[in-house]
Amino acid sequence: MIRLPKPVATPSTVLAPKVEFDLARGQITLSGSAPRVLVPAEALSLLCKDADPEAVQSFGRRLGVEVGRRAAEGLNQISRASIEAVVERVGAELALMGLGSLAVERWGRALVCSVSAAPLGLEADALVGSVLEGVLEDAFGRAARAVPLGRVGEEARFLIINPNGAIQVEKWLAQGSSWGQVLERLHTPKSQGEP
Amino acid sequence: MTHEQELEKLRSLLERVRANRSRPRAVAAPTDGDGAAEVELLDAEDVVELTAAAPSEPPELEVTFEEEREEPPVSSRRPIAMPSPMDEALAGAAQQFEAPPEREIPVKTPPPESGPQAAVPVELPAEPRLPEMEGLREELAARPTTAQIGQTVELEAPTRAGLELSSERPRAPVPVADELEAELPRAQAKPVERERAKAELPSPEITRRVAPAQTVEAKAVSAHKTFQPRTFAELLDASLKLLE
Repeated sequence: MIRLPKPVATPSTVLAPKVEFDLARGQITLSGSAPRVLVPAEALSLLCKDADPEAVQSFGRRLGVEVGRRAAEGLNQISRASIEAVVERVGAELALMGLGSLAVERWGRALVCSVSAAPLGLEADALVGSVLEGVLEDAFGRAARAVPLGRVGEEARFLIINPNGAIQVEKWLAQGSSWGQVLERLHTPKSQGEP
Repeated sequence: MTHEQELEKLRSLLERVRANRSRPRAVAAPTDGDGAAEVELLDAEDVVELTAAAPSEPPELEVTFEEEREEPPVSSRRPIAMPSPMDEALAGAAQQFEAPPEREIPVKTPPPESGPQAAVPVELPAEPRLPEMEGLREELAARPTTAQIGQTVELEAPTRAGLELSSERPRAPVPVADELEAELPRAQAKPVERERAKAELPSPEITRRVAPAQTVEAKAVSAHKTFQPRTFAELLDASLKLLE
């Protein structure tokens, strides 16, 4: 039995972006970005539920790439940025999109992103995970997977892992393992060699 | 002198006394110290011997003498005071408390200027007698102490009834194990020789902790190096290496 250290949660802080509502033209802009669409969260959640998973993943990655780009623009050398700085900047961008509050947990060597107060609900966790994957891909250039571990109340947790490891984790979760057990098995030497 | 003659003299004397009484006196007779009045002397013939044989029937005479004391005149001498009973008592007491001539006068402490006084030699016994401690100790040990006196309880005579003891004994509280506490080995209980008690009472269940025969040597291998990523990218890479 391996005892995991207590998670280090780094909450994000919301910056003060400039949101412009051009009611005459019917457009919403964010700090001079391209026009955005303000849609009900419930409708988006239903779309994610009925849509093809690959389409949802592609949609989410697209959103994440933009978030990553904006975060990288706000941070000088994001590859050397601290955990707190990254969480603060990326979390602010996600908050502007209305996807919830971002925090980062470290369980041993595992990186777990938690999003609380997400308005989309459980049906849209795959979408939020895809957004996180797009952020890491665009900002850090890493091909990573954000596997939904489950929800505790309104807080959804996503394990950041390589694509091969994501398959194994999804298998464990399908077998009924809790997210705590998954995190524990990640650090066992036997599990290290499993595909 | 016959009886009739004596009576006759007494009657004549009485008449003379009565006659002199009524007659006034020319010169006041001086009184002596005791204040008694001077009495006129009688002739030898007038003296009647009363000690003679008394008549069988004394004549009935009523003679009344009025005792008078003449007050001394103003020009008279100062009367000499007679010794009072108080003076006589003091004089008697002085005579009573007079020390006898043969009695020895006690030695008084000389005044300070007379020098040191020689100490009176005191005769001491040849060997001081010490109390016998051995006998005294035994006697004191046999006696009850003062605290025990008054608390004496008379016990009843022992009976032949056997002791009834409960087979269930209270369990000792189980010590709570703590990670930071290490229990030291306890000393083994000394065997108590109670053959009679063992024969009658059931043997108790005693659980003892077996002390390790050898001491455990602690080995300091290395301290666990906790993962402390400095950047987010470092943590991201570490997480991506899991299940790789």
